[in-house]
Amino acid sequence: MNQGPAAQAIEATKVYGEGTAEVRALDGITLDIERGRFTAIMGPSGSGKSTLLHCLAGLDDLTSGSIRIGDVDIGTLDDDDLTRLRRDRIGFVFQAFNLVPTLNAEENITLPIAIAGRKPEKEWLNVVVSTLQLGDRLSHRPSQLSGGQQQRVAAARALITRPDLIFADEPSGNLDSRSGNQLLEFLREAVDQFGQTIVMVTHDANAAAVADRIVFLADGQVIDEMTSPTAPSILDRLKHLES
Amino acid sequence: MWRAAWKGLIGHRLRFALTALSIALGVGLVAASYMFTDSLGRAFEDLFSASLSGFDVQVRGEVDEELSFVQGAPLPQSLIDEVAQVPGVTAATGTVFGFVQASVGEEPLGNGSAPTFVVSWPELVDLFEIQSGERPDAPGEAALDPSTSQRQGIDLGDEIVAIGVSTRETFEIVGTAAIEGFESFGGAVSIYVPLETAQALLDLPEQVLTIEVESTGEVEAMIARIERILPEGVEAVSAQSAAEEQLASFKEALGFLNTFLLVFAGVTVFVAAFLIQNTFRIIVAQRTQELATLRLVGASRRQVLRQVMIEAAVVGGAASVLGIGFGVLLARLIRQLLSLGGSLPATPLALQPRTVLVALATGLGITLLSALLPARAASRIPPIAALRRVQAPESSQTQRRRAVVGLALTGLGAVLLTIGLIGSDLPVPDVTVVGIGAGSTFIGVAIVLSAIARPITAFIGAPIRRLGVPGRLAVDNAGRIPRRTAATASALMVGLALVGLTLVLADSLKATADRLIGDRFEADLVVSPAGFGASRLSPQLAVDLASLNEIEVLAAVRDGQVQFEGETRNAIGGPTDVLAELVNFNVLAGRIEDISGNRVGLREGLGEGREIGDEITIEFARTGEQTFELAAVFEASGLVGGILIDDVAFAANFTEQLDSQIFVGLAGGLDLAAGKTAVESIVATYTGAQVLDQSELADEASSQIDGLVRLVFGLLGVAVVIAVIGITNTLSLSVLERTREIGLLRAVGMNRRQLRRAISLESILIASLGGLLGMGLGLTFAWAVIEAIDAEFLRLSIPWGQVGLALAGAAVAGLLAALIPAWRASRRNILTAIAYE
Ligand SMILES: Nc1ncnc2c1ncn2[C@@H]1O[C@H](COP(=O)(O)OP(=O)(O)O)[C@@H](O)[C@H]1O
Ligand SMILES: [Mg+2]
Repeated sequence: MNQGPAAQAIEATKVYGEGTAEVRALDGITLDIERGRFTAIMGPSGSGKSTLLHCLAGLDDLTSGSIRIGDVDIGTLDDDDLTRLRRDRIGFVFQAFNLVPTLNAEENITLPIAIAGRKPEKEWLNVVVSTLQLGDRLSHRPSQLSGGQQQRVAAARALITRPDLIFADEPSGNLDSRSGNQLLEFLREAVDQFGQTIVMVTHDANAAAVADRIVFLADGQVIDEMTSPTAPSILDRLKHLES
Repeated sequence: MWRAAWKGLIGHRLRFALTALSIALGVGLVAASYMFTDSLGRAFEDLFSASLSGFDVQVRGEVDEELSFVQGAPLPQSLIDEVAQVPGVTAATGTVFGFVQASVGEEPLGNGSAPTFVVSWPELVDLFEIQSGERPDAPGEAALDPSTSQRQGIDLGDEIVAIGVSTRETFEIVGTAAIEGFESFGGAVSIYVPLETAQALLDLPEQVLTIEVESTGEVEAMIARIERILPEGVEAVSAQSAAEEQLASFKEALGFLNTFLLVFAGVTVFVAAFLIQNTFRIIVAQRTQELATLRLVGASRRQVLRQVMIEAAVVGGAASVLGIGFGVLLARLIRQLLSLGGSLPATPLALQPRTVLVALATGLGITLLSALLPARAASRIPPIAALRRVQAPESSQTQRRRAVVGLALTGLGAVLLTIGLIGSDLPVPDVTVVGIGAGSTFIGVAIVLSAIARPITAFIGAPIRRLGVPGRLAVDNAGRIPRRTAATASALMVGLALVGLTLVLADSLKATADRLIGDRFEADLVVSPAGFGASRLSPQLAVDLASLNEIEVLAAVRDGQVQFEGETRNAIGGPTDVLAELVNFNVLAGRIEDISGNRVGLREGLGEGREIGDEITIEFARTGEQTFELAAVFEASGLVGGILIDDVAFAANFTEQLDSQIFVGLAGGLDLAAGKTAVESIVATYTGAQVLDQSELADEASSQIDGLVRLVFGLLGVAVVIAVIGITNTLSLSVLERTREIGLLRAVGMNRRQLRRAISLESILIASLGGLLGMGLGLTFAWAVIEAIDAEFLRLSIPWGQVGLALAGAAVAGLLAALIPAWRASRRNILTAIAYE
């Protein structure tokens, strides 16, 4: 496997609107996402966290600058190639509405593989399902699952393709603290046990504490970073940044 | 509420647009039916009043009103002078007219679908108007109607040949003439010649058919005065009532045409109703929160109901107005479709206030009616729904109840259909009973379908499900909201049922025609007028043919209308002894050979309950009521007529003595092709006649049936288009509802093609569901119709190839319906889709 960063943003700029309505959601961000590590992105609301995540994941395009996934500049890909890249090399966990309501949990988990027209590896599926403790919920439809279970199914789906990168946008934002913590632990486990690379947006210090590294954004720019964070140290840093 | 309703409309204008379009199409067809028949009626009215405007009183052989179209007894020409002597008469002229065969050079006159007439040029009274050249007043001169002259490039000075009853004459065209304001009527050819020439061609020496009288006196008084000198069996009528008489029977025919067209308009509106209902239901469902919020802030149930109904009224009203506009275009189209190559009169299409009222009432009525159930559902949304995100799924109890109601309605429909088809003594017409029965069956099946759409889509979608994730999603989504899928598929079901019915009936008729021609005709060849105009053959043709050595037997038949037991029927006349050899009548009682003089034969249906030797009364235009004796009852002859008399009786009772068909039996051992060549060599000298052998005869019957099928398909097409619009509409709304899900699928790796495929397959599945159900119903209906007619000769024949094609067509319609929704879904930005509320 390639030893460079899993993903890179180079002078990434994203501008919405024009003239007086112009918003620079990303303002020249250069950033490496290290392989096999858990990166959290924090910052005040409107600072560009989601935009950065979407652009890194190829869901949105930049106004200028470039994004690389591994050694591919995704700005050069057409929709089909980009779709394939998302399908095979990237996983997602959104804040809500992660699942297709007509499919059951197992089908939702294996969806990216089915879309590719392949069969899931049984062993890996078992590992993922047991890691996320979903064994007894596989035949349930999303409407029959709790919010925490739904997010775990989404996480399982993100893991199933063994992607280079998993992006999660406030994955525990809609959950009660117990289910939220459980989900975060599972994500942590994915990094520790399977060597997954995860990028997670959050504004919750407790959530960010599970990460290896935190990138702080404000007004579309990286204003700070910290490694091996703990909840108190994060809160402390946030206070500093606000002042 | 008005404000809220208006906001609701504006907010969902795109969704309403397609609904409005479907209403407009249905209303358009209603308006077009009336406009087309009204304008045709006006044209006839104008024509008859124009053709009878040059005189005040008409003298003619006494004739039953119902038979005023058949030539009555001819009058002696000397009667003209006697009538002219009556005080007050300023001018009297005699007229004859009738069919001839005519040609210019090698080419027959006319367009092959309308008859050619010779008409005597009136000497004293102005009935026609010379448009160019001069009037034909010397032997060998003729005037032609301007439209034929133009169409066939015939100039003044050119020669035409006309073949009459026993003579053949060459004429120089000296002018063009027409009834004022009517260049042509349905492509018919009119040749105007001097009276004596016309009499010679029509074999009416020293005779006229009518005498037209101009007078100074008051019409009623003049009629009384003229009648005093008329011999027995001759009557005088006002020009006015002669026109009205003729108009009455045309109006009746137009009434049938209008009903025929309105049936299709009704089907179209019925199909549109499914779509309207479905759209309102979806829109109400999508606005659950909005409507619930209205309830939350204090709106009553009635107010919510009223809001939805106001929206429906605005959509229905606007669409109806648009529909009347469509109607004008459709009426033109129908006029073209129905003109069958001939030119129908170019009267402007009349949009009568009645038409506008009926169209508006239909459009508004059907929209309000269709919106009623969805509006009621809207009014039952509880205020608490404003706070809930998801709707409760349907309980299995409602589904079971729906299945029961649906089955009951289907059963009721089947019973009504049966009653209507068999014929009943109910105070409503059988057609109406059949219509209500069919409608109830359709609605019943649609309701049953709404209860079982999920398992049924899963079942017929099984092969689609194997097509990877898109196929899988397509099948799941099609079964997701059973009621919606059911309504959408049902609209197409109605269209396909009628397509299937038409296909099967047409095929059964064709098979019957084939069999009849094979079974019934012992003749090798049949000579008949080319095209299907009401043309006739000169009897001279049969005389010429009889001299051929290649022909062993030959029977020329004639036909004309009579009154029999209060109905107008076709009577066939011919040499019955020879005819018995050339046509297999499948005699049930008596003998065909016994039919002669005052002994007649009747077809099965007409002869019901009678015995050989019974007395029978038939009324003729020429001779009035005549008594006959029943000599034979036959099953079916393959000839167009249920009454068979011999040639002597025909000659005695009809004025027009022209042949309608000649059956030819070739000499033994002669090759068919050689025989046909010989017969053709004679027939070629008579224009507008053709020789067909049995297989060609069958082909011709098929092609006439095909023509009718095309017409029916053209009219059904509007309903099918609406059904397809319905699929598009439902799909667009469903796709909109699933925006976030689609965004998610795209995010986790589904490409645009796969997404489009998922939506297209869903659409194809819904369309196929409608197609299969419709075809099933159509075949059942066809079977029922054929059973009900219960005629031994008509047997069910299913054209499996065409049925398959129609089903494939339904699937393709589904594919087309999905084009726009699928394209729009695949183009949506993934991020905004995921964030969609
Ligand atoms: N589609 C859009 N159109 C216009 N402005 C947008 C759009 N998406 C995001 N923005 C703006 O870009 C900025 C960054 O947004 P976002 O990345 O969602 O912030 P965060 O996730 O950190 O709260 C905000 O000011 C937001 O209003
Ligand atoms: Mg955000």
